[in-house]
Amino acid sequence: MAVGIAGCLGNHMSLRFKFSFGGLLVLIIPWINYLYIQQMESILRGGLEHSALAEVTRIAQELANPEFSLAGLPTETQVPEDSESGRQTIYAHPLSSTPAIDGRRDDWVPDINFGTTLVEKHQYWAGTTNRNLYLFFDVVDTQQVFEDPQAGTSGDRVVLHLGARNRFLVFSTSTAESLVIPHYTAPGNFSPIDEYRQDSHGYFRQTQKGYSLELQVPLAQVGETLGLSVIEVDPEPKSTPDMKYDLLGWFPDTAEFKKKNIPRFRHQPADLYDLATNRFRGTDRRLRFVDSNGWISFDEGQPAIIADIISGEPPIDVTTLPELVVGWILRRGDSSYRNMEDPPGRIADEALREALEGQESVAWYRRETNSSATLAAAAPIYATDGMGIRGAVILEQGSEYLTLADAELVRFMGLTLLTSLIIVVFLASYSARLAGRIRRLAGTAETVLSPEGEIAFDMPGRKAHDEIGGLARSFTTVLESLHGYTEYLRTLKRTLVHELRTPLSKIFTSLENLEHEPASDLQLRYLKRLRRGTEHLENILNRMAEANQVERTIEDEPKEVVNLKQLLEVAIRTYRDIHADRVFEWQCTLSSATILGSPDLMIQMLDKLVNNAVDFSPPGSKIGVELERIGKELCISISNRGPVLPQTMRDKLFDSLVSVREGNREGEHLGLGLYIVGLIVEFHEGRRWADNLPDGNGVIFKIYLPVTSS
Amino acid sequence: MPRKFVAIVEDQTDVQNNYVDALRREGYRARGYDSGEKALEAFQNKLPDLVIIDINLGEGIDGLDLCAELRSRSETLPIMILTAKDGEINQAAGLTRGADDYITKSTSLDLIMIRIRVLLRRTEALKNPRVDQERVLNEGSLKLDLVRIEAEWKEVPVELNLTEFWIVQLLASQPGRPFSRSELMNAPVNADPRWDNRDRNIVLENASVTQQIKRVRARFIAVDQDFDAIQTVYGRGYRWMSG
Repeated sequence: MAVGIAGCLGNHMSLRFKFSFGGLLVLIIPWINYLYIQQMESILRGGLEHSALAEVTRIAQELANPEFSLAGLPTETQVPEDSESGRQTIYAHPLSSTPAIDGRRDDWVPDINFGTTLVEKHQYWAGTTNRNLYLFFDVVDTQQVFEDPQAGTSGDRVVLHLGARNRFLVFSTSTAESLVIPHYTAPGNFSPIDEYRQDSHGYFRQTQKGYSLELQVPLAQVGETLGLSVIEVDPEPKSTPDMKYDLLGWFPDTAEFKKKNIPRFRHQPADLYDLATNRFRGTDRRLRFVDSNGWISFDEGQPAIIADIISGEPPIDVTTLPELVVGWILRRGDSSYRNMEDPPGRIADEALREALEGQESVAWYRRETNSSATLAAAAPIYATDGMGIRGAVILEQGSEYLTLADAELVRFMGLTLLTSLIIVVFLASYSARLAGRIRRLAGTAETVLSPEGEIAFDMPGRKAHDEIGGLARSFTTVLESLHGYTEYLRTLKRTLVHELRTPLSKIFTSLENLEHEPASDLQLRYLKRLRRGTEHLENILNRMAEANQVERTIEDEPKEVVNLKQLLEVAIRTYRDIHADRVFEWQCTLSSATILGSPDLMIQMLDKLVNNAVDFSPPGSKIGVELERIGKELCISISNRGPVLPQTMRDKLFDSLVSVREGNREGEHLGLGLYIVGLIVEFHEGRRWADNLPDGNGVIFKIYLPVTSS
Repeated sequence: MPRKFVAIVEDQTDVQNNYVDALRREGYRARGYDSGEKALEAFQNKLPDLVIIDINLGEGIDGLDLCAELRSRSETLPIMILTAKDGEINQAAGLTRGADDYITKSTSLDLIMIRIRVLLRRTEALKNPRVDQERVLNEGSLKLDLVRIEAEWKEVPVELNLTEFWIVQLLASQPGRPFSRSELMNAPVNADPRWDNRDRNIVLENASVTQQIKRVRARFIAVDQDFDAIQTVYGRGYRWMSG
């Protein structure tokens, strides 16, 4: 694959990019890790789900045993609440300590304020201890009416219907604040009848809005149903009927009330607790039994990892970033953990309600604060008749293994990520270094040959033992041969001048001697031609000699500040004198233009350029000379009408012995002029450039020289 | 007056013979030698009146050594050095006790004859202690004896070879006037029309004008640190500005 990708990358990308991309492939390793761990976790989860379901089913089967019916689980299949209008459930939360009956609810522990049920303007709370049911009423009453034992009139009162006894119990008071013993009563006007319940009592206390009543009734008398109502007496015309507040929609106006409409009473019986905890003891888990409507009959234990959520305390553990990342990666499907109860005391969780429809189910929850997961499993409890569902068992289990796996995953992925990153960084830096070396090598290879033909032998990285070192060595070898060749060419030019001088002087001296001898007209004519040819030859030699001279002496030339504008102006005046048959157009808007250089060489350079322009242009034509400033450079342009440059030769113009145009003076263009221009421009650290004029009727030479401040 | 004897030391026989022919045509006694050794042997008893030496003599003693040897034997013997390369002029002329003239092999025979005449006349003049004041050019601190080819700057002698002397002479003949490269290369030096009507051309290689000027300056600077009478006029050439 890597080869394929590398192939796809093609050759147009930089080495560094390729290496970096290759390095990124290393990141596949953590990805594979991720896949592997995900797979592992799914297997782990499967196992946990399986065992949790097995346990929950076992417990459910045991709960189908009749002995648990005695302990508070409903014996019969219950009709779902919601399908039957009006019938509701009063759920009493277990209290951890016995409250004092004093008309205040501040000693109810835990504070089951969340359990407040609103019925019109009145409120009630229900709680249980081992044996007793505690009820607290907060009644809104603008004017409390007390009973008057002397007059025999009833006051504002609270009526209960106790399912186990099928009796009504009334609590009323004759004073603003007092401990009261309830009377039995009967439907109708619910006046107290002269029969007390000694084992129950209540306490009335006046409040800002009305009054409160805290009362205690033995659980044994309540059974599976509980009716509550508040009766308010109109204080003024005592003839009007009492206001009856039916707290939960059952209140009987007559003796023939429908018993089946009385709200169910659900709580967590202590004997079930004893029985179940003995039998289904376990650690780090929460076991709950619910009836078919989801009301909790048994609630025991807590998985350690969610204990603080249950207790409502803020999370104290600080989750590390990788944990969060991993948690986020792995827990994608899990919903966050919640209490599952709505209202309090009743399981409303969708997944677990499936159990109440006969379907065993599991659900995963995660904690918001970290990646740890909780498994909840539920199984239905079937009724003894085997026909319906009495309730369900819900088991919540913290998954320590998963937490451990997470920690491992965090470490593992962190490690592989780190390793991969190190590899990527290493590859990137290595490739950068490699590319740098190659670039340096390439850069040196490009610049190693100076325009004068000098060769710098110092190829970087020549001593390295790897392939690049080899490449550098090969370069060096090539360059050495090239240097030898260049050196040969250079000396060739010099020796050529030298060697040709001697035969030339033979010709010249002979010619001169010959010219002193009498000759016929014909001989004179040939003598003249001979002289012309020889002079031409000498001219060529002189030009080569001049190039040699400049080559040899240019390095020693001192530099000074040269006013280029002034120099050009003077020079152009001279050129106008010398080349009277050309029109020199001088253009310069600069007030001053100075460079650091040699005025002699500048003049020599201008001579060459102007001679070149004159030689290639027709008589009478225009030669443009312009000086302008472009950035940090001064640009001298010299343009002339005439033959254009062939495209291919443009770069070679400034090379030695290259001439690309046919000039006016036949055969005199060895190309040494522009070569000397090149040498002088190099000496001044400038650039030169040649191009055809845009209209294609001539040529322009541009010399860029670094400007210096005078 | 007996005919002057001019010797030419040149290993190229053709060139040597051409020179000899030309010299004889001019009325000199001339003799060529193939090598420095042969020349020295021949000069054992009597020095010639003028020696032309090719700087490259092939095997054996080379031109410059020969020049030095002859110079050690005579302060006044006119010696002309022939070179093939301009570079050699610099090299050779850089030596303290040099020749009287340096010419390249491409210099025309006519010009060489002029130079020989000038040098021989100088020898004659040196024999005569009286200075012909009419042939002295005075220009400020510069004094040029046009016959003896002697220059003085602020009354200190400046050693110049013939080419250098002529450059100074040309520049100083019209102080303040710039002479272009081509003028310097080809301008006639009318040293003394009464005395010799034939033009004497300096004739330099174009490339060596700059070098020659440099060298002339250096010669003056050698006797006067503050010498700046030879000025460069950009685009125009060089001029003499004294004072």
